[in-house]
Amino acid sequence: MASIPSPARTRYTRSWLSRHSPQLALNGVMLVITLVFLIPLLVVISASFTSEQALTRNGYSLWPTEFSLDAYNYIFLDPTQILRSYGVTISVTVIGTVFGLLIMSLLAYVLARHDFTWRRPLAFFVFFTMLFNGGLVPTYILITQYLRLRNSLAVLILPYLVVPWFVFLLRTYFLTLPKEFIESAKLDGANDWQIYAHIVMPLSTPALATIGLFCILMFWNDWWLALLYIDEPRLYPLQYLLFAILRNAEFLSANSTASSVLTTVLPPLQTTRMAMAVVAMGPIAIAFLALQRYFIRGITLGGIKGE
Amino acid sequence: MSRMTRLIALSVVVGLLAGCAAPVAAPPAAQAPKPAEADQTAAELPPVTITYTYGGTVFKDVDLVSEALSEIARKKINATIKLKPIDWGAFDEKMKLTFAAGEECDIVFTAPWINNFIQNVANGNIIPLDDLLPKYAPGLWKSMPESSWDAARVGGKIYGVLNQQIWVKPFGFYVRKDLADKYKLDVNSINKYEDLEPFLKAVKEGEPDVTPLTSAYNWMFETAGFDPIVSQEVPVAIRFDDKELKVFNAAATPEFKASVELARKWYLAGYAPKDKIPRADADAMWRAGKFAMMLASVVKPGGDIEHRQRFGQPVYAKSVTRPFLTTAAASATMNAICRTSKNPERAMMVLELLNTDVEFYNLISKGIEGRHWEWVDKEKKIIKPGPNNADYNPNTDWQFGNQFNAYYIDPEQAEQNVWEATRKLNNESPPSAALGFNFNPDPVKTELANVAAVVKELQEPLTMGMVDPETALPEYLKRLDEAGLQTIIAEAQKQLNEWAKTK
Amino acid sequence: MIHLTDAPRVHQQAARLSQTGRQRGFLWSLRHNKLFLLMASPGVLLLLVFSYLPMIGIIIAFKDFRANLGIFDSPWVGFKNFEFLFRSPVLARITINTLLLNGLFIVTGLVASVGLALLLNEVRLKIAARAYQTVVFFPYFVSWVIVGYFSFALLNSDNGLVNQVLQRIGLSPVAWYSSPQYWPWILTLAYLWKSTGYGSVIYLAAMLGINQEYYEAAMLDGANKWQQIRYITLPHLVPVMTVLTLLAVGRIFFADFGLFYYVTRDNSLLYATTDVIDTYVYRALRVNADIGMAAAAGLYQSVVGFVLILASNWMVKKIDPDRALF
Repeated sequence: MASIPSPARTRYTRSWLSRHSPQLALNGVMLVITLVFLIPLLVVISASFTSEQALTRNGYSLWPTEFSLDAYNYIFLDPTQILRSYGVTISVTVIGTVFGLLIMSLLAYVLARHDFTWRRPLAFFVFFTMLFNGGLVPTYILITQYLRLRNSLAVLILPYLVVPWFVFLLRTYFLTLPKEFIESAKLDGANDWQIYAHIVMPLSTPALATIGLFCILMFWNDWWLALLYIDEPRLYPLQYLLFAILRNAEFLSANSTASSVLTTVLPPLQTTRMAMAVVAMGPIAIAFLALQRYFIRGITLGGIKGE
Repeated sequence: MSRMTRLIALSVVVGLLAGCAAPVAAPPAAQAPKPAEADQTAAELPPVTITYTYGGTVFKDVDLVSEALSEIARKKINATIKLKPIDWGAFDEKMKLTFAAGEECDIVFTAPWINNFIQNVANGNIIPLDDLLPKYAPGLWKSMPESSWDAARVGGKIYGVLNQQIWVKPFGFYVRKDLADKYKLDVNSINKYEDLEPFLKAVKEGEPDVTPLTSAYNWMFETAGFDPIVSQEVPVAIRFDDKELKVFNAAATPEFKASVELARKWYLAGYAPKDKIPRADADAMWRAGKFAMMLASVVKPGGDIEHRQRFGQPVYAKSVTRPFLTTAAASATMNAICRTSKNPERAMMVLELLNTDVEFYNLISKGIEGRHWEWVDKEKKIIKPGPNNADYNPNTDWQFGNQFNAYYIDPEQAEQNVWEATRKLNNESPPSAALGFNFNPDPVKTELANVAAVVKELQEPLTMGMVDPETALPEYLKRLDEAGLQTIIAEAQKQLNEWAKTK
Repeated sequence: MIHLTDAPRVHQQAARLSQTGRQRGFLWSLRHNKLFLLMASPGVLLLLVFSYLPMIGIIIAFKDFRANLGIFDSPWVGFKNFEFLFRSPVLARITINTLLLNGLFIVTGLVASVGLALLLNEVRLKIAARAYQTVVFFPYFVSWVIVGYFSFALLNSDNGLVNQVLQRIGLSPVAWYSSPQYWPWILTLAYLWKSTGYGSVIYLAAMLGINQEYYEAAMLDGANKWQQIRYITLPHLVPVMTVLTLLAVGRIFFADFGLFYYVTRDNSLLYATTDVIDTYVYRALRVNADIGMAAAAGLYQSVVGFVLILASNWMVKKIDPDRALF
């Protein structure tokens, strides 16, 4: 990429095109990259609105060859259940993200403070859980028999509140904050809690937005906890509901020769898969766009900040 | 470093403490049946709730159906029924955890292919039913020949209630009616897959948009007359009529060789797709008319009707296998009673209802009349979907009990008298010499794992014709032996000989 | 003006502080760190309950687990549960594949994420930057199952798009699903497609922490764009890169099952380059799903990852103690 000369010297001596050619080239490159990413997504959306027959006959396309809502009809066979599941997922995601961010940022902050005596052992303590776990059986027994969390919202939240990977990422962000801020606050008599709340947190919005986004995605996408600990459909989160719908349909399809089918709706498996991706993606797009301003630098067209 | 080791030590201690605080108590074994109960009438029996855990969608109306079932069950045996369906994608995992945690359950669906029957027996998850069956479920007990019950025996005891359905595996092919007629295929003249060659060739040449076969795969133990005594996934078998019970490597037989050579020939001729296509996709493609024929499918009475219902195309079907009865096929779907059940006797009475009470059975497998289904012809027992069919339609008759009690959902089924034909086929097929033998995998767990991995890796491309058997078959046999197949064969032979002695 | 080079000084101070802390004894440390401990306690507690308590289950790997006997009373079998892995004829293949492919993912993932973040950071038109970022992020939502469908539509031998293109430009078609040699790259592409957007967010956030004055000063000194990236942006990203790489090394023995299973469509002709520990264990335990054997495989992966990460953490610590994980 060409260099951007110091603007002060060249601004009035070069043509518009040559001044902007690096940006144009950059946008050109980005457009190509973006297209590579975009096309499959458009294909997913298009396929979800295509009839299963047409999809099998004609393959994937950017625009539905034969428009059909079969897949969505199949998913929304029971619309109240879908809405309830959206509700469960949104509650879990919001509560989980808020508390997760709070608890993890506290932990990460302590780990990032050089004057905390046990920061290395504590870091090890956190890290160890990334590699070793007791497996399903003891966890299941603990959660269902001792904590009695089966069929509760809490069981969809608590186990994911502290994610070591996120803690270490947050700690690294905190470590890159200028130390002077902390030092001078200490000299001003601020205690460690105040430093956390009034200095570290406000300075870390990009980091918090990033980890917050990741938390949202994690809670939003999870179906595993529900598979293990939720039996009642009223507490099914969205992703588990979709998973269950799909797996039940696949199961019936795989056992087609084992049984007669008494039903009015045969599941269109391939298009349903695509429609599920769309259904799950939709609302998260809004969260993403809302958080995005925290990690895209606010530079306006034609100027460099501080110029 | 020393601090780190100290921390590891600490975490171990924490773990141990945790372990002490949370002991996993093994629940007491099920109590012996109270003998008096059998003679009591419903009113004299204390009221109990019996849960039934099985695989399937958790339908909106499942509680309504539970209530309807309870209405019958309360009158007859003073039991309330609680249905506990678990989504198929979660069923296996959840049952493992339920048993490991010692949670209470009464009746549970178990099979060799999901919620593994043999493992459930080995783990003591389900109880022997020998005493309960004749006493609390006399109708069920007499509903099939006593020899059939052998299929559910492990170590001499019956652990599962077999669901009556198609018990034999007459493998054969389904072919689209329009294409068969067009190219003059007389399916009744076909007695082995090789005979299909001219038809496949004609379709390949005459129908550019149709691939003749969904896959060149045609290998099935049963087609060769083999009884897979260990698992469908492991090539260890006996010949079904071999009274000597000689166990051998099925992949090293001329039958297997012929099968993979045929697959290779057809694959190279372009009769099958070049790449493997997963089942669900193959179904969709079949529906879209992309294929002419499906090999290696069970051709059972009424199979063509079910096929048409599912795919919307009329088909012909023909078996190329002489059917015989194996342990694996007869025990393909079962219900059992949990070790943790507090009322095994009453659970057995519920199993009696499931298998002998037509109304009760159809309630659980089809739902409530007028809501989930409606009569088409009450006399011939034909039904059709009702207004709220989507709120309860498990579509797994074979899971709940005796399928021969199921209402027909297609007039043609009634015309062909499908259940009677199936029962006849079951009864008339000769039993395998190893019927009633259930292999205990424990002594050869390691070998079984490695052999299963080799089978998936090397047998699949061979049987689909994707590799040349000239080189790939010897390689496969070599790798099987490396993985310990001979140890499994020796163990199977040992267990089989011991089993034969007790017979 | 703030200097990045302040870090070591502060670190030394801190080290001295904690040194004195240790000398003054445990109770003093406890008092001194009271607020820190309080702040860390919710997280510590959650980890204790949900991660450390169940760890007792690790012993299942050494037991012939019987549900009716429970975890503690099931019989010990020593290392028998590990045998199916260690005696597997393909142990070398699955180990090498796991390490090589994960290594490939770590390196290419790092380069792609940082590269993409750098590019995005340079886009001046805000709305364009947002649009690009949104698009590259979204593949994260597409499951591997669906990616598997796409790759099949692109690569299948009967009417795959890639082969159609190859034929149109006069090249001979490739039987992708029986040619294992291409798959490390195909899998890498799939991995990058799905994860680069996610990764780039991390680096973009880190870039926002860079003081703008550095760039202004550099521009006044006549530094060009590349020099600014080389001497300001990248050094600032090193801590994040180090941590992410370290954490990834710890998980190098664990493969992303969905990627290897669904994108290859579990095609056995490709196992030479695509069979990894996780897919092997899945395949081997298909017939007899033994809880003890599954636990043994997981423990083996954890222990190897643990050793690797202790080694790499030790190396990082030698170079710069501040960058180490613990």
